[in-house]
Amino acid sequence: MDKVGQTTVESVVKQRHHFSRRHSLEVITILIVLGCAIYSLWPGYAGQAQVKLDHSQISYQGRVNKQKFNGQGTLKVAGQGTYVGHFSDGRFNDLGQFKSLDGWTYLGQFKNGMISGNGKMLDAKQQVIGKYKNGVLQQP
Amino acid sequence: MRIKWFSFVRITGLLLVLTYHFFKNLLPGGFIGVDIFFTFSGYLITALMVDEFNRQGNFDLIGFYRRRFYRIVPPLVLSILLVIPFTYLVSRDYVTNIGKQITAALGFTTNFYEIATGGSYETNFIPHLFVHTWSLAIEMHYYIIWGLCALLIARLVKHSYQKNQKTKRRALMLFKRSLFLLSGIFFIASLSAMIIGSLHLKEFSPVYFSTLTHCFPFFLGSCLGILVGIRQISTRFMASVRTWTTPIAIFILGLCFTALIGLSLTLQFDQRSTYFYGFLVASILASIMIYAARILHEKTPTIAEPKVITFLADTSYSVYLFHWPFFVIFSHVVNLYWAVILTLVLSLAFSALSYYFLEPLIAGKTDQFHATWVRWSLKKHLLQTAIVVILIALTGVTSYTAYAAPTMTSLETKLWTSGLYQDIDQINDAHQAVLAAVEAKQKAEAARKKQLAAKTAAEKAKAEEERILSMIPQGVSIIGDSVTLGTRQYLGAHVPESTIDAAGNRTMDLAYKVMMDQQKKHTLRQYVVIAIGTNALNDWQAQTDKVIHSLEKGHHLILMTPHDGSATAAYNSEKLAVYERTLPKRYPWITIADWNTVAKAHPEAFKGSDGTHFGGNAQGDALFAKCINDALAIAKKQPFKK
Repeated sequence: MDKVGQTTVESVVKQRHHFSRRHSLEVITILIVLGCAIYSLWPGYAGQAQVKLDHSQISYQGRVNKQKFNGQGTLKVAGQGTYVGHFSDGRFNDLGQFKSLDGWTYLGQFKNGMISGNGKMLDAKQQVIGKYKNGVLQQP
Repeated sequence: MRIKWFSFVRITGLLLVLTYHFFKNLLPGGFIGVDIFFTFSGYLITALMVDEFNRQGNFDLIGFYRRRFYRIVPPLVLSILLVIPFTYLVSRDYVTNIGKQITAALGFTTNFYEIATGGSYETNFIPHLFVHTWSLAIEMHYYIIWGLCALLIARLVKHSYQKNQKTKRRALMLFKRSLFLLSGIFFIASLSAMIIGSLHLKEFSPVYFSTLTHCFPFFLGSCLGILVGIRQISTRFMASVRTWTTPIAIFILGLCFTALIGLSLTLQFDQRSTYFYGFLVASILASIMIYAARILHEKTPTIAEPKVITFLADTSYSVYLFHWPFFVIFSHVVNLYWAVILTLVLSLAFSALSYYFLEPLIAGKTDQFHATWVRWSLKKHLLQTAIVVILIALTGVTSYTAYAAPTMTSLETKLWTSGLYQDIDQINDAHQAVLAAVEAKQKAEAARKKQLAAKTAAEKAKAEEERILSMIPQGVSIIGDSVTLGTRQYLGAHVPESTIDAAGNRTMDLAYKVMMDQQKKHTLRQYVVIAIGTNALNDWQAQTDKVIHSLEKGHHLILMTPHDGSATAAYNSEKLAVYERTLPKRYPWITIADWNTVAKAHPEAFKGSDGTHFGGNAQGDALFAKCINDALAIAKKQPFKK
């Protein structure tokens, strides 16, 4: 009688233990699922960063969002020069200034990387040598 | 209790989706297979809810969630862990952002992740390996919301459910009616959202992926589940069972199947009609199929479902999970047919392992296993240990893959980098243009002074000549067609002081437009090379004369004779070449770059090409550039246009 009683209690304890272990595993899994859900929809990094492209031929220092240059930044291109200004979706956009290694500078508006709007070309002595209006060079 | 013939509904859905993925051109609308799954799930889940309330007068939400969880999550985790090692067969581009993709799949947020990343099911160049889990996400969202609704309604009507048969029936009626009303409202709301949402869209993936717009098939299934029932079937349904005969049920099943195939042949992912009524019609056909299958079950008490049908239906969910990533991977390793075979064999094998062994093991239903060695090794904890070790190893591989995965595809990086270089080139060009304009102005002023100072007629003529030349930028302007475009990089580097404007399919009249545009902007350089004529129209002679006459004074014109590998003397391009060769005699400022002759003398430069475009052939590149440079050397000794 006692023996039978003992086994019943034991099996109940075992079952309870089994249940609680399964139960906690289930809770952990649900927490992992929730964590995954939050992480997957968490917006990517936005802020200051250093980025190198094309085997370090292009190097960028500035604001990054959605893995591309977005906002103010400085872009150095080996053998060409440096662009300082605004970026959008990885390309020159709005106001920016490109200073070439030869010393000349273009200062003006960009749209999707193209010269657009107003701007001016300066020589190495910072003298204006050309003016752009609506993206078109004005005849001197 | 297993309802026979429901397997056909599941298999139909799977067949459509698989065919769509494997042979998209064959079945452009096969994506409606997912809506068949949705309708069926809605039906099954809701019918079981009604059954449960009928039995117990309540609804156990936690039990419901637990059953759904054990059915959905383990195969999903397994499919991810088993797929990842296979990604090492293909380029790293295919695991771009795989960490985010995996967490989206496990977090049941793939549909929103795809909307956020702008990923379209159709147009992605590098398809996401787990994009297909978007449907699991919607399914999970439906279960969570619908379970809560059922609990709420069950709580509200529970008080009238007592031991008394009459009140019991009234409570059940109330439960069914409330649930039906609610699913009807959700169905109409979701369907309206999809139709209205697609009105202003050109690219439909937002309404395709969103839970809000694409959950209506579940609620259509829910309505059907309440009307028909599953174990506890309605009296109305019993009347149908009596009136329908077995051949009618089979006929309706076959008819719906054929209609679904027909719908899959006509619908397109990027057509508005798909969103207006395509998914709705598919869901309605699936509902009729379910209805006919349920009747057929009643009509065939003695006939067993064929084993192979049951097997395919059992494994359909896992096959759906495995097939897409496997197919994407294998189709980049072997040809299409082998990819399909490999995908099917591996998907079925892993799905069987998942459904018949791992899932019962994880759910703790070990009494299902009959083989003695399995029972023995389970008892000794050998199998469990082996499985845990394998799972840990696979988790390690997956974590490492996600950690080391690139965040941008190489194509996207390349396009972005080239774009930045092009932008810099453009600023350099702008600087050159400014310098040229300044120089032209200075020269023009000097020429005008000389002209004023000129006394004799000879001096005046010389000053006039200098004035004309001062207006024109130095260098070479090359205007070409696709042949030039193919060798653009090499040509630019090997013809000094040149700018190249080339485009595919460019005829002489289009080249004329380019030349006139550059002339107007004062960017047309002194030596003008026209490498056009492969695409010669009937009025080739008139168009060529137009170019000759419209070119301003001070320029040299170099005409490159066209070469078309398949042309005979009767072709316009050949006639143009003959005509062009006669021109220098009449106009000393025209020089011929006789590509037509050079190309014919060097067939080796066209090896493996179409005989016209040598692009990429080093010998062809060199010959083409030499042909232009030789002509330029001759032109320099000739007078310019006066």
